[in-house]
Amino acid sequence: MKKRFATLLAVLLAAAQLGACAGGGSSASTPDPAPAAPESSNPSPAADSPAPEESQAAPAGATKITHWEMVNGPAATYGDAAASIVDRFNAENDQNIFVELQMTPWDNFYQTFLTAITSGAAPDTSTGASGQPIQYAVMGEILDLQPIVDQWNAEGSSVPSELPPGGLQTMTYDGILTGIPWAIDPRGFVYRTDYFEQAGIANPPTTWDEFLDCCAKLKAALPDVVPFVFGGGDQMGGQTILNFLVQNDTGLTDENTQADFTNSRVIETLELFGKLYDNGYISEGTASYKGSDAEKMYYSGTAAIWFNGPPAGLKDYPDVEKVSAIMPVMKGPSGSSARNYIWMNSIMAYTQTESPDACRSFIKFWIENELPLWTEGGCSQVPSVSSNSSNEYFQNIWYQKQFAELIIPNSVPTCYPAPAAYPAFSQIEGEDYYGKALQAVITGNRDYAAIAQTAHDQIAKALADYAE
Amino acid sequence: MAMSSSKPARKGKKLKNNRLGYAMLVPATLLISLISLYPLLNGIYLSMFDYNLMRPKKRRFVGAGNFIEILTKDSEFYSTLAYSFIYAFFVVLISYIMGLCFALLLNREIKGRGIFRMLILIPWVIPSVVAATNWMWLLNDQLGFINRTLTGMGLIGKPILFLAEATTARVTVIFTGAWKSFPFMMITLLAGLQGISKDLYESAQMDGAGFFRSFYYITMPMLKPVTTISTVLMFIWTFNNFENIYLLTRGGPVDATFVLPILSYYTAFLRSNIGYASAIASIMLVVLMILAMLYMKLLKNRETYS
Repeated sequence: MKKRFATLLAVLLAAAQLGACAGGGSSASTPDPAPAAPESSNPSPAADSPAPEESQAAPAGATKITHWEMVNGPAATYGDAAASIVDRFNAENDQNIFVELQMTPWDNFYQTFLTAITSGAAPDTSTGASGQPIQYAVMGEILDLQPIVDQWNAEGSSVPSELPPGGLQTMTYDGILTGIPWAIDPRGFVYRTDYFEQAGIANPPTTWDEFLDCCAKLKAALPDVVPFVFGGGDQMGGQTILNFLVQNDTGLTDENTQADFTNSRVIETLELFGKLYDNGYISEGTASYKGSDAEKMYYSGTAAIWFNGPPAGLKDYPDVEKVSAIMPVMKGPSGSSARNYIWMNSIMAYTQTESPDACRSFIKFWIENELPLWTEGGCSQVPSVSSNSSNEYFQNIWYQKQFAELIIPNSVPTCYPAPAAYPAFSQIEGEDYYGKALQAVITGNRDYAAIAQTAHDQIAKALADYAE
Repeated sequence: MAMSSSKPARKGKKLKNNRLGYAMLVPATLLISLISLYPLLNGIYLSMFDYNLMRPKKRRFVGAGNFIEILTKDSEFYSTLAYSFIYAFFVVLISYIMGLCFALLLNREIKGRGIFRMLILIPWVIPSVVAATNWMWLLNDQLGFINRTLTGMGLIGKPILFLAEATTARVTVIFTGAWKSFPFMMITLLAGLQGISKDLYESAQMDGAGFFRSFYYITMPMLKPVTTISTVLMFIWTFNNFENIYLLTRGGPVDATFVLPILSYYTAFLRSNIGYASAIASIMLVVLMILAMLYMKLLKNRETYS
């Protein structure tokens, strides 16, 4: 009897522990993927844990400022690369400024910054998500960085002209330059060239019709492979639909930054996802996928096309990497030109600082000397200064090169078609109103007008709340 | 005479002992007040303000304004409240049933009982993030172990959409919540079972009672105090739980698994409306207090009646 109980317990325990000791469901030959792909606007794939902090002491009499640097690359190398730039600045500046570097993880960054700012404990300068500078500018917490651009112009520097077109305009709010883009975080479609060949697809699609045709061929030729995958259960879902929206000449607002999510181009975009779902071109479980699930499916060969940023994690999957490429930008049926969108990640300074000029000096130096963040730190984004992105280092990384050539020149900022970023964007992105519209479609709802209206109302309310 | 002289001495000693006891409680009381009472009171205080982090200087007192708006105009609050109750109720129910079954098994004299007790605590002790990540892997429709196994065995024709369809997602998060919570229930019920005298069972056995009659007439009544405390505590914890659902579904798909802690979090940190979020949290507190008091009173009445 006791033996029976022991056996019963063992069986029950085995069932109960299933969740605790599971190692994923991929086949034995499938390697586990790298850390999660970007979930929000900017976290890089390996940006989860902070690197060691810099702990040098400030020299006597120095103007001390604190810089919070987000972990935008592998923790093992990125922190050291950022520290090397700070060390150089500390050694080379002739104004006796000492910068203390503090690496800041992306985990809960939103709360970290907001709490620090509202409690009067903001850093002097920081990098951060693309929506942060404008959001904090509304609170009166962002230092105007226009003097840096003025100084560059006075010096005859090429930096302003090397920044992405419209980059500075996008970051301007209420007459102040809230941040300077230091990196571009592009989005695009990574695809399997071998699967395309097997499906008889000679060229990657450039229009939505071609895209649907391409998915149909992939499904017919490779029934066990999901033609298109993306993380529909987190913010990658919103990012995916946003990319298709800009391809169809629309966005979340109109040119006057008023909610505009009920127009025919939005409906066309929702219909496209309806077709993708109804025809089995995306898997039925997409609404539950995190970005990391989509990444895992692509790396394991279960998916043919994957929407993501530069796929830095592919280096751990050489067999998949050698048959991967970046798709050129596509055009929607109502789109005027083929395009994708990009996040522009900025460096900013805060009005709480006691040394605004020291902050501006440091930011200017940072932009001019940021290359080690990539060459030594392994940053997964693309430098915003074009002379940096054409550096030989990037020519040797195929996906960075293809993103630089195919995607970035044909991309618009996330606020498109609005001329500049707007404060409510952080809330709209965080609550993922447009991602929820996508979720509704890929869970079977076909009332496109009602779905669009719900998201439209939510966007309008967020814009109105911030306009108060 | 001897008695009268020793009484004041004992009283004095007792008073001295009490003073020492109170003095030793002071640091812990201060600490608890600091980390628990202050945030609670501050939250209630903030709930009476129109306080948006985007406009911190425009903070203004609105009294019960936030509460009135939530209770009279906010349909999102009511739909979220409804699922929060359903979620907490079923998590407690399932974890109670599972906990009781395991407690009954582990209360028997079996080989390796200590190891089983230790192993069964794993869901309770592993970090929520680890558990959620593993569940997501297990439940994935394309690569997940569960779907692959069931499909491979021919038990299902197409994958179950555990987290991608509204109804199944609601059920799935309840089960993962119960899986995480049942070890606590098991431990408390096991402690309760061990407090029941074996004589009662022996007497019942001699009177011809079988397992089920003993269970119904001895075990369950004797477990009632433990059951009351553990289910009330578990309901409060589950109702306030944020991470299980947030990590698995973020409240989706299409808000199907949205619960009040997530609504409060979004309101505070994404909508930046600290006052309104505090009001939501305060209402949660009141609702839970009322429920807990009703439940305790109900059980007390039943005990008195019986």
